Amino acid sequence: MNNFFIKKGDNINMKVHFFILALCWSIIMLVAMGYEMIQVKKEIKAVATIQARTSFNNDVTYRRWNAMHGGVYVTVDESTQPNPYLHVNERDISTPSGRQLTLINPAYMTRQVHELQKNERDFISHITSLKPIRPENKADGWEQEALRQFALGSDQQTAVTTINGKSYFRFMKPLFVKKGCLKCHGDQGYKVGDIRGGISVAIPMDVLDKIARSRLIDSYLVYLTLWLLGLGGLGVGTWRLHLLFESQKKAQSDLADFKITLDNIKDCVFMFWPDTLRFFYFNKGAVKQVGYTEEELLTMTPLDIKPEFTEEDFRGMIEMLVKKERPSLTFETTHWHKDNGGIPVEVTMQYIVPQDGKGRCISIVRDISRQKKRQQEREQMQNRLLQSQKMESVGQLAAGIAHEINTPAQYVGSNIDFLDEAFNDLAEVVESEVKLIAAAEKEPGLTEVSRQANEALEEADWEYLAEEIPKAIKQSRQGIKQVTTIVRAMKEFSHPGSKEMVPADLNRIIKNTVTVARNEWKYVADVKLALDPELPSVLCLIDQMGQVILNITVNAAQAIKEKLGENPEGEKGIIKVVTGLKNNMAEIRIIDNGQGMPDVIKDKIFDPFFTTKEVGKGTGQGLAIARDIIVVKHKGSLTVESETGKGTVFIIRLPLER
Amino acid sequence: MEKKRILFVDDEPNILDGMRRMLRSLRKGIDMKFAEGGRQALELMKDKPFDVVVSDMRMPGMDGAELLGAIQQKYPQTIRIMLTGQADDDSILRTVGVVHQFLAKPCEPEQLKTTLHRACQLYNLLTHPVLRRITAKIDTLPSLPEVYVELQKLLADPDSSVDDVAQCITKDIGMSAKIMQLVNSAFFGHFSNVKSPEQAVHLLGLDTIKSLVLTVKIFADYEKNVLAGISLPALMNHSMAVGGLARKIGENCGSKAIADDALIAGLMHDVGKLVLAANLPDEYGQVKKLMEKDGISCYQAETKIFQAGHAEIGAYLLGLWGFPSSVIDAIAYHHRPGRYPGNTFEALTAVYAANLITHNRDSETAAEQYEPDKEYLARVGCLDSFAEWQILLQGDE
Repeated sequence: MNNFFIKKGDNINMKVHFFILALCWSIIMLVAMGYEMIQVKKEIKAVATIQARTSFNNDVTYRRWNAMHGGVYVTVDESTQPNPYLHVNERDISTPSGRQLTLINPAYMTRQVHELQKNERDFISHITSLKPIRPENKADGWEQEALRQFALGSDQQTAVTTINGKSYFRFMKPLFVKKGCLKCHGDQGYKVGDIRGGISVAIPMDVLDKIARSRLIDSYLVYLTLWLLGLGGLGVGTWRLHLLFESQKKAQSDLADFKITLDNIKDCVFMFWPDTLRFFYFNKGAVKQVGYTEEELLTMTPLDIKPEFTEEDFRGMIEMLVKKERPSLTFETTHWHKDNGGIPVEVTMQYIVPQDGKGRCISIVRDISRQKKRQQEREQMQNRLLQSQKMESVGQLAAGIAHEINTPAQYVGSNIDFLDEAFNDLAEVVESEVKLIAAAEKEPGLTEVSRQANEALEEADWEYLAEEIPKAIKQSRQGIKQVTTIVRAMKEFSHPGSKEMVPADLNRIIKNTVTVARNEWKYVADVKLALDPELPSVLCLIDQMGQVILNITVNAAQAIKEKLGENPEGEKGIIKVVTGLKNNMAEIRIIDNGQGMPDVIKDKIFDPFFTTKEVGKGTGQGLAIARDIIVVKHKGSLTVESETGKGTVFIIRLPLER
Repeated sequence: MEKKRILFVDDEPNILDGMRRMLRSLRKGIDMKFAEGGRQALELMKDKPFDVVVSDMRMPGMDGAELLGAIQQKYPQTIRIMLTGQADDDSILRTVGVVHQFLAKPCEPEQLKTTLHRACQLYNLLTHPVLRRITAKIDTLPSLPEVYVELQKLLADPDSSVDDVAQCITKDIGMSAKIMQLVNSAFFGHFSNVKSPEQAVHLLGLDTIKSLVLTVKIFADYEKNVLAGISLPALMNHSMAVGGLARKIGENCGSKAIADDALIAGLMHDVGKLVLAANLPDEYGQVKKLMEKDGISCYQAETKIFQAGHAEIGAYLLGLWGFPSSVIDAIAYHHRPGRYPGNTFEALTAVYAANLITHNRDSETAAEQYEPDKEYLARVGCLDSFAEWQILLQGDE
């Protein structure tokens, strides 16, 4: 079907959709967290470096202060013994009060500070050199490597190493030889600016890690929150999307239901645009009704299937609807089926403007062939009723006329009979008169009288009278007999006495009918009856059987008339009516040698209203009525055999018993 | 022989003149009088009753049905014939009880002459004036009470078919005879050659039968099954048996037409008994006594008492009612075929034989057995066939 109503939505599985989005979001978050971790590590290292450098710088500053003063004296105590590696004068002095003082050089001071540091904080500073004066200041492995790097030009070294099984961040910067230094280290051959050694600072990693961890935990919490928020947003979004799809789906299914409903209604629904007249929707019924495919219909307009309309008329109607002069238009017309031709339909056309939509024309089309047929049947019934009523009143009239004719017919008949007898008697008298005259002629006294009598006889032309009067009487008798027969046949034909099925003499019905219909055939045909005298009575409706015989006989006469055409010679055809028993049925054959008919017409002659006669010459009902009477009312059969140009045979068969 | 007197009544003088001229040839045998109306006709009857009255139906003043009704009452022996062009059923129904025969106008001269001739001849069949009067006055015959009741019921039931009614009516001889009269004598215009009471019912149709039975009351409602010593059911059974056998004999030896007549004559052959028993019950009661006393047949006893037997009376009635002459002859001579002039196999032969065979079968004692009239049988050439006919009856059982 055309997809005017349904936009095919991409029917995404909402869960999959959600999981893919959630996965992406999670990956983004994980990457961000990894990056954060790296950044924190870097920061920690930087902080540790700064701390270590500050410590180093302090050491350098204190040493310089010490060196500036050429060393400082401090009280000798247990922990501060004179430096055995210091070989200067006045290393040890005493105060006037006897207090023993010793000179502390920068190195010694640094070492002592470092030891303090080590004890008080978990913070290791170490002054060292590749050539230490004091052996305890000897560099460890990493320091030696760093010092070597310094010698190569590096000014700072950092690393994370393990000292005594503990992880430390290590920092080292070189110490350059200054003037003050040479006081002690001059002996070792250093010059000012040389790298004497370095101070390394080790910050335990666990402290740094702790800082880093707390930093990371904070930021991870933030990320988690963010991640959850993101997921939530995503969920809500997907749900809403889902709802949107659902409602759309429902709307679609509603629409589909509606469409299916429309497809299933018996009436046809067409929609088309009022401007182009193109169809854009039609239900299944519509497609079926007109026999075109959907694709074909979409390119068509109502005019293509309504042969009775011109475009101008049709557009005029649409305009009436569009201008709201009429709310709707209902009319009967014909729809043209692609293959089967016209179908009578009733169309209700409306113009409808949907909300936010383009105005459209909608036609509801109902196939009314059945109603039409029923109506036709009703008309047919009425027609027959009318005809039978007409027949009835004609019958009453005929009965009245018959009565009127009967009285004169009676005495005319009586008088003719009398004249016949009387003339016979008279003729005898006259004949004896003739003899008498002949005898009298010989008597001399009677010659004059006999001459006169002879003259009278000759004047009257007695011989002629004697011959012609009996003939005239005979013909008159025949004439009055014919009048009587016709009147009686008419009376019987129109007023058969019984309205029920009665056993009847078909031969008599045929004779009566042929007599009554004489005027219909006598100029074009001779009727020959070959009626089986042994034909048993047949149960039938006498008047209706008479009607059938009449209709077929008249038909036969007309067929002959048409074959004869102008017929100046006055030729006549033959209508033969034959009765007999056949297969335990009474059979009547009505045979004519008229023009016959082709099979095309033969198949239709029993259809109501079918006629080959000119308008006004026949109702086209005669044979249909005949068929109805024979087949439906008498349970018999009515068949026809015909050959064009040769003639037609109607065969009526009636069951003998019911 | 005395001239028969016939009165013609018609309001159209031309018709009367025509009749007079037409019947001129019969002037030696009949004395014709003409009346232009009912009143004038009755005046003429007063002087001397006519033997036959032929009347038109529709006349100004007193119409045909009234006139013939009055004649039926005052001069019952007169044969009443209606001649009319009237085709209107309702007025015809009024004449059913008063008319013996009905002729349609225009009537062929030959038919009219034949009818009149036969009517005059009927007088020779039954010479006894009292019996003649009684018979001619009859408009209905006794019928079986149960059949009458059944018929009433059937006609009241809208579901009844014409077949049901026909079956019922044919169970009764009186009803069958009356129906046949109506159909035979052109009452309803156009029937002829009625072959059986059943066909007669079909021809009349249910509606006509209804109005005849319920409105016109063509059948009499008798209360008793026994009339003057005659058991009606036994008479009916006998008649049916004879009718059936007579038809078979007719089919066997004659033509279909003879068989049809034989059936009707067989069915009706004892109608005379009904007439006598219904109208002269006291006298008829003596018939049985005389039969026993003198050891003679019923027919002989009747003849002794009435100077005529049921055969002649039945034939006379059916003759009045327009039954075909072959039927009337068969009935009239069925007890004395030897007096019938014919030499060929006819309906009479069949009825005679059938009656004899049926009677002998049903008689209990040897004394009641009748010998066939061999002379008659030999004359019609059926002496040898008689034995076969007896087998026909047995075959029936």
